[in-house]
Amino acid sequence: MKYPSLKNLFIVMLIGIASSAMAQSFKFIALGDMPYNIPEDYARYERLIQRINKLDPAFTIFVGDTKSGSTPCSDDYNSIVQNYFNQFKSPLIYSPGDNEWTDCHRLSAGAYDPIERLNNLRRTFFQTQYSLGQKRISLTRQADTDPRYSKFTENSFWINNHFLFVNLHITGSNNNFERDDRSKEEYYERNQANLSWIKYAFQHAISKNFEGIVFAYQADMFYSAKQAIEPESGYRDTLQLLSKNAEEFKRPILLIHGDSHRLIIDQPLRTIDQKQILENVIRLEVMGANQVQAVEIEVKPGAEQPFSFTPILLRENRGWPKP
Amino acid sequence: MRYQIIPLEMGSIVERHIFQRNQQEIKCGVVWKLGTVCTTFKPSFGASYDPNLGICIQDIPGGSIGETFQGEKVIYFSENISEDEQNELSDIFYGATKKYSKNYVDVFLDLDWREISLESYIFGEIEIKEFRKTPALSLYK
Repeated sequence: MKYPSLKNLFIVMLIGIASSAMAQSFKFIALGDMPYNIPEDYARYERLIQRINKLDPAFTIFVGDTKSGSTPCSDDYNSIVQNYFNQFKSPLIYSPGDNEWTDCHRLSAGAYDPIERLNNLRRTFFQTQYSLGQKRISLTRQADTDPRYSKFTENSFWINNHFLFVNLHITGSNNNFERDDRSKEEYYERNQANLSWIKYAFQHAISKNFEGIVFAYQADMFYSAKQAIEPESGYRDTLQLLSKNAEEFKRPILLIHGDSHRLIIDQPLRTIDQKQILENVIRLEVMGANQVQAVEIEVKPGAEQPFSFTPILLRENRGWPKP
Repeated sequence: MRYQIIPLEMGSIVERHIFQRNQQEIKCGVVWKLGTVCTTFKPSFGASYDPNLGICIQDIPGGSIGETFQGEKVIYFSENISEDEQNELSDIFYGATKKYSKNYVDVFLDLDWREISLESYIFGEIEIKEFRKTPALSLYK
């Protein structure tokens, strides 16, 4: 009988360790658009955070709208949001939504200057290289990788088990591409930063041979099919760039967003000419507003389709039928 | 068999949406100048029908609004909503500004209004017509 040499045994063990690491699945949570009906929803939100903490996810992604559009965009409210984010035991990564800045000019939201509120959000939530939550992870921020976009501290990425997670600042209300020239100027600048960050993400994923990419942002870019083609859409550039790169990348991509408050899992991204569905791209829209619930996502590296979804539907949080 | 319920007066089919927030209320919807209500069940409400009160279309078995013409959007507010906010909500409802790129229902919900009901009514004098076949044209709609 021929015994393997020590060197060969070591190589076999290394391969074994590597493949088990490759195959190790993990779970994370996505939620957004809450709490809306305050103060009543605070208790529901706290229950949801407690359940998420029990599930002990690798991290949690909050895809914007930390309040309803009619709650004032005050500093005091941002402090409340910060306190809630710090109740999450696992790392929490946050994408800003339209309710916390672009729509703050509304009377019911306090008639604030949206750009001032955006700058305030950046100072409040995106000051360090770390995520939010009690356990923090280090994030690579766009501001640190490209001096042209030093303002965009909210755009970031992190890596988990061969998957690239990318945070993008794309908001509802047509991505702020409307209302007045100042808004449009802000949109143009941030849109360039986002497009650059998306390109960088795909290049990085290809160069590192990652298995897939998960993009998280607030806006429902699939609310209407026109948003992918009309020149006045604040999402057209992003959708076209995602289409082009997703088609070339071929590997699994997950888009996670909120904004429209309905739980949806589907395949809405099409080729640039809008003729074909890109089958490697899945979209998860999380519920929110009256539904203070969340979604657990399991990622199975090595699987042909690595993403699976479990809605977290707390009975005590149900709006209708009442528990 | 197919039945058409046809109002004999203009503006007798309405869709009404009610939203509430705290003690405030929005009533909004569409008044159709002309239109019909269709059903495949023989209408049986005739004896109890009061033209002044009308009937909720959801209460007519199989009933749905069929062809309509010249809808006019209308919105009303409770008195405790400020004039400025009424103007803002009207802009959302009528789609007067690009700022609100979603339909009014989604924007109202985002502003923390709760959807209380969405109902359609037909009222006034009506005529019920019976068809043996679905009109051929409807196949192409």
